[in-house]
Amino acid sequence: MFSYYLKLALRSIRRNPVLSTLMVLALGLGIGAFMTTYTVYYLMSGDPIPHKSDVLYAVQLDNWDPNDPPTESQRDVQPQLTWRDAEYLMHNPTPASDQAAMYRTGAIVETGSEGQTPFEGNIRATYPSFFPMFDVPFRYGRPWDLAAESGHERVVVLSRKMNDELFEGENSLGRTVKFNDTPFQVVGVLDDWRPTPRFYQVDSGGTFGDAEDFYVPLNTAVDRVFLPHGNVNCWLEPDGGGIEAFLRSECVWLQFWAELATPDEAASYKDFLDNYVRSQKETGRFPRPLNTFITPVMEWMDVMEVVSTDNRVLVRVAFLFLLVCVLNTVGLLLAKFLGKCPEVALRRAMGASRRAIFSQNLVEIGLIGVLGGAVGLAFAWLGLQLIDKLYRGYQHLVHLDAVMLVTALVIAVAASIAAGLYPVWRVTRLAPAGFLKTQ
Amino acid sequence: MLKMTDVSKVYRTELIETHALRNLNLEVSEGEFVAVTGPSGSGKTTFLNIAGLLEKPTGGSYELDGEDVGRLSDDAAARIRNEKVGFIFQSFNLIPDLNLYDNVDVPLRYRRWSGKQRRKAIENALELVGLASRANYLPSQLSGGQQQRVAIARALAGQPRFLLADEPTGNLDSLMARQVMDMLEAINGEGTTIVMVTHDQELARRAQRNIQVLDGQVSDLDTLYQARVDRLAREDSAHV
Amino acid sequence: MAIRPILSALSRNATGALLIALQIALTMAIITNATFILRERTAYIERPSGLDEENTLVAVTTDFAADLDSRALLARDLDHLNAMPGVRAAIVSHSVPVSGSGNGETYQVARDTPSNEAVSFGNFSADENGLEALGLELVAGRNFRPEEIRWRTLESHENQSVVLVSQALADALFPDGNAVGQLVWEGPTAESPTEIIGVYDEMQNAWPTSSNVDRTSLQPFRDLSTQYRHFIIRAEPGQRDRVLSEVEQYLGEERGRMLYVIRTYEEQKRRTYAQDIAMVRLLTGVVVVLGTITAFGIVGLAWFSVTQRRKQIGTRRALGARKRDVMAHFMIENWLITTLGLILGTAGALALNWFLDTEYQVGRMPLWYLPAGVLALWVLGQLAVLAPARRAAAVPPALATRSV
Repeated sequence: MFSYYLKLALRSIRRNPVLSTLMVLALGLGIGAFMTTYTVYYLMSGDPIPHKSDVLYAVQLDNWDPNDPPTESQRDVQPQLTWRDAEYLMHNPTPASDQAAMYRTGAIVETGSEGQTPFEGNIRATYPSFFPMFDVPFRYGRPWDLAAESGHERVVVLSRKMNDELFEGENSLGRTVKFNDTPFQVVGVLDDWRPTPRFYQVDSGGTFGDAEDFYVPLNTAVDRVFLPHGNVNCWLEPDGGGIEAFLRSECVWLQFWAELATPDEAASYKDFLDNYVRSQKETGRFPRPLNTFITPVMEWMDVMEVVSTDNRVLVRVAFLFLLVCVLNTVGLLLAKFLGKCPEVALRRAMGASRRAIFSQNLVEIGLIGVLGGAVGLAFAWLGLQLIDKLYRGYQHLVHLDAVMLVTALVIAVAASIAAGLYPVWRVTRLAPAGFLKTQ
Repeated sequence: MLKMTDVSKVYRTELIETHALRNLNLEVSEGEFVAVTGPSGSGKTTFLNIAGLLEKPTGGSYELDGEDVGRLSDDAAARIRNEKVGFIFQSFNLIPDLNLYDNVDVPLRYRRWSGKQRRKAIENALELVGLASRANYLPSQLSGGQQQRVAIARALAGQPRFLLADEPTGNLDSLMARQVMDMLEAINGEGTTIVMVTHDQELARRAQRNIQVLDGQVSDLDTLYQARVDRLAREDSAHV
Repeated sequence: MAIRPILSALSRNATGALLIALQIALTMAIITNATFILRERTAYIERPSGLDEENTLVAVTTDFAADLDSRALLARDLDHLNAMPGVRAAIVSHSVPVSGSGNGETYQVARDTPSNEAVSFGNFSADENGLEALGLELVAGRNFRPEEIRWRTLESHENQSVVLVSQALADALFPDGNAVGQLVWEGPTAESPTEIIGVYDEMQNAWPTSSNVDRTSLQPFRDLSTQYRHFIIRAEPGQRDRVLSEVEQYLGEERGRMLYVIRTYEEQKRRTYAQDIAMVRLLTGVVVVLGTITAFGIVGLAWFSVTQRRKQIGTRRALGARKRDVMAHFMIENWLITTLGLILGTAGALALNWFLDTEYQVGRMPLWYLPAGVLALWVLGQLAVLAPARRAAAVPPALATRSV
C-alpha cells in the first residue's frame, strides 16, 4: 500500500506544480535558515573536550582594585592570572592532578630553508602538562620534559598542519625553526587537534579557529620577551620599565587550568587557593574580599559568553521564520487538500476507510517534508557558505555533520507533518456523500 | 438483497429540521433492476446515499444481503461499500490525472488483493466495456460515453453484488445513453442487482420495476400493499 | 462595495483566513524587530571614527631580525613615507582606532583621586603629524612640537609630560571646560603629572563596543617596546590606492622586517565590524525572504480560492458584477485578513521586542516601527493579491451557464 500511496503522492505533487514548489521552497527556506543558524549555535556551544570537560577547571583569583564595585558574579572577576600567582601555583605542591599556565603569543617564523618566506606564527607558551591534561595527540615525539621547562630550553612542538607546511609532513624531530631569528629545536609534532571552541583561551578573536601552530615552554617564551597577544589588564601600573617589572606587577595575562579528578580533589584545591590568597593578603596583596573560582569547561564557556548574543538572537529569529514557513505551508496544504475533496469522497465511496485516506495523505505530506528537508539542507549548506564569507574565523562552525543532517530531516518531516496534520484531518473527516453529485 | 424498513433521514441544523426521508420501506430482490424516480427534492439522493452506505439513516433498519448495515461503524461501512456495492455517478467522477487502468484500480486497492489478481480484474472489466485497448488513456482523452463506461468498469471490477447508479446517463446524449443502458441491462442479465436513480421516465421504463419517491416516501403500490399486509400480520400475531 | 458578503464568504473558510492572518502577524513581528535591530546596528557601524576614512590606509610591520636597528629604521620609514608623493601625513602609532586591539589607560585630576573616579580612555602614540594624519581638528590649545616626541622602549617608564585629548575626554575630566593647561595624573604611583596642551574634536578608541568610545588621547612618543609598528597613512584625495601599492612595495623591501598587514582604513573598519555587518546582512536577508514567502503564500492561497470560486464568480458576473467589483472583492478580502493579522502582529511585535530586549538587550523598538510595518504589509498584501484578483476578474460571465 505504501508504494501506491507514494505513487499517488507524486502524482498529486505534480498536479499542482506551482503550489507544490511553493510549499517545498517555503519549507526548505525555513529549514535552511533555521539549520544554518542552529548549526553555528550547536557547534559554538559544543563540548570541545567531551570526555574530560567535567574535570578540567579554569582558575580565577581576584587580585583586583579594592575601589572597584563589589563582585556580584563570577563575570566581574578577571579571567586571567598574574605571572606571580601562576608561577606560585606551578611550582608548589597542590592537590591538583595536573595544572598548566599558558598564554598566546607570536613571532616571525623562518626555517632557514631556501625560498621560505617569513610569516607570523601563532605560538602558545605553556607548560608540558598542557598536552596530557588536554589529551593532545602526538604524531611524532612528545612534550618537552620538565628539565627543558626549568632549563628555559629553546624547544618547540608543531601542529600537524604546520609540520606539513614547513617540513612536508616528515618526521621533523631535531629540525630547527627560527622565531624572531632565534633557533628552536622541534621535539614533537601533534596529530590533528582542533578543540572547538578553543576553550583554554576564549578572550578575543580566534575562539573558533584552529589551535595554535607552535607550542614552546612558557619560561623560554618569557625569556625571549614573546609578549602576550591576548588581553593584558592592569589595575596598577608596573612599578618600572622592562619585562622584570611587568612580571612583578598585578597585571593579569595568563590563563590557568587545573585537572581535578574528583569532587574531593576539586574541593581541596579550592581550599588550597583560598589559603594561598589569605596568605598573600598578609603581604598586602589581594585587597578585595576573597573571591576564588574554579570552573569546569562547559560552565566556563557560559561564563565567558562564548556563544555570541547575535547568534542566539539569530537562532530565535530563524525559529520564528521557520514557524512562518510552516504556517505558510499549512495554509497552502489546506487549500490544496480542500481541492482534493471530490477525489477523497470518491475513494471513500469506493470503500477506502478513514485510515486509508489518512495514510495516503500522510505519505503525501511526508514526501513534501522530505523534499522540503532536502531543499532545506541545500539552503543550509548555502547559508553556511554565506556565514563563512560574512564572518571571520568561523570556518570550523560551518560544516554539517551527520547529527545535523539527521536533525534537518527530522525537523523537516516533523514540520511538514505538523503543517499537514490539520488539513489531512479535515479531509479525513469529510462525509463521502457530499462531493459526488455534479458541482 | 436490499430491504429498507421505516427508514427515515433527518438533517438538523441549528434552525431547522429537514425530513429528507420519512418511513421509507423498500425491498429489492436479488437480480432485480429497479429504477427509482421522483422530482427534484423528493429524497432520491438521500435514498441513494443511504442505500450506498454513504450516510446512515436516522431511523428504521436497512438490511443489505441479509446483513443489518444501518448502524455500522465507518470502517465496516467502508468495507461493505468496497466489497458489495458498485457506484456509477452522473458526472462519472473519474480521477482526472489517473489513466483508465489506475482509475479502475481505485476500489481494488482498498481490498487485500495481490497485484496479479487486481491486474486480471481490471483487464476483464475494461474488456467488458470495450476499452481494454485504451487502458493508458487519461479520462480527458475520452468522450462522455466512454468515460461513463470506464466508470462502469470501475464499479464492476470488484464484482459487487449490487450496483447503484445515479443518473448514469444524465450527462450523455441519447445515443450514448442508450449504449450505457444496454450495458447496464447486460450486467443485470448476468445476475447483478441494480438500483438506478433517475428523473427520466423513459429510461425508468426499461427497468423491471419502477419506484417513485415523493416527499421522502416510496409510492410504489406493490410495496405499500406489501407493507400493509406485513403490518396487519404483525398486529394479528400480537392479538394471538 | 459591501463588506458583509465578503465577511460571510470569509467565514466559510475561516481556518484558511486565520492561517494567513497568523502568518502575517508573525511576519509583522519579525520584520519590525529585525528591521529595528539592523537599523540600530547600521547606525552603530556608521559612527564616524574621526579619521579621514576614505583616504587613509593602515600598515602593520614586525621587526624580527636580531641585528635590526629598529629605531633608525623607523625614523627612516617616517621620513620616507611623509615625503612620498600623494601622502598627506604618516605616523606610527602603537595601535589603530576601531581596530579591536589597542591600549587603555586612566587619568585622574589629582594624584590621590580614588581609582574608581579615574577616567579611562584609549591612548594612541603619535607625533607632530598626528592630527594631520588622523584627520583631527584642534579645537583648543596647540599641537605637539617635534622636540616633545620621545622614543619609548620596553625599559622606559617615564610619564608623558604633555598630551592631546579628545573633546569627550576633556569634558569627562573637566566638566567645567578649560581643559587646556590642566594637569592630570596617570595614577597614584605616577612620578609627575601630565599637561593637557590641546583638545581635538573627535576620535574613537580601539574598541567599538566600549561605552566611552569617544574618550581618546594622543601621546607624544614613538613606540619601540614591541616588535610591531602600526603605520597610519593619510593620502591626498584620490591617491589612496596608488599610495597603498607604493607603501606596500617600500615596507616589504627591508629584510629583517616583515610587512604583516596593509589595507585601507575602510577595510580595517569592515573587519572590525565583521560580526555586525554579518548581522545586518543576515537580518536584511530575513526581512526580504520573509516578505517574499508571505507574499507568495498570499498569492498561492488567493489563486487557489479564485480557482475554487470560478463558478460563483461567473454567476456574479452574469448577474451584473463589473470586473472591478470582482477585483475589489478579492482586494478587500485580502485587506480584511491582512488587517486582522496586523492587529495580532502589532501585539506580537511588541512582545517579541520585549523578549529580545529582556534576554539579549537589543533595546526598545521605537513605536513608529509599528505603523510603518502595518503600512508596508498592507502594501505587500495588496500587491500580492493583485494577480489572483485580476485572474478572478477575467472569469467570463458565460461560465455561469456551463454545467461542469
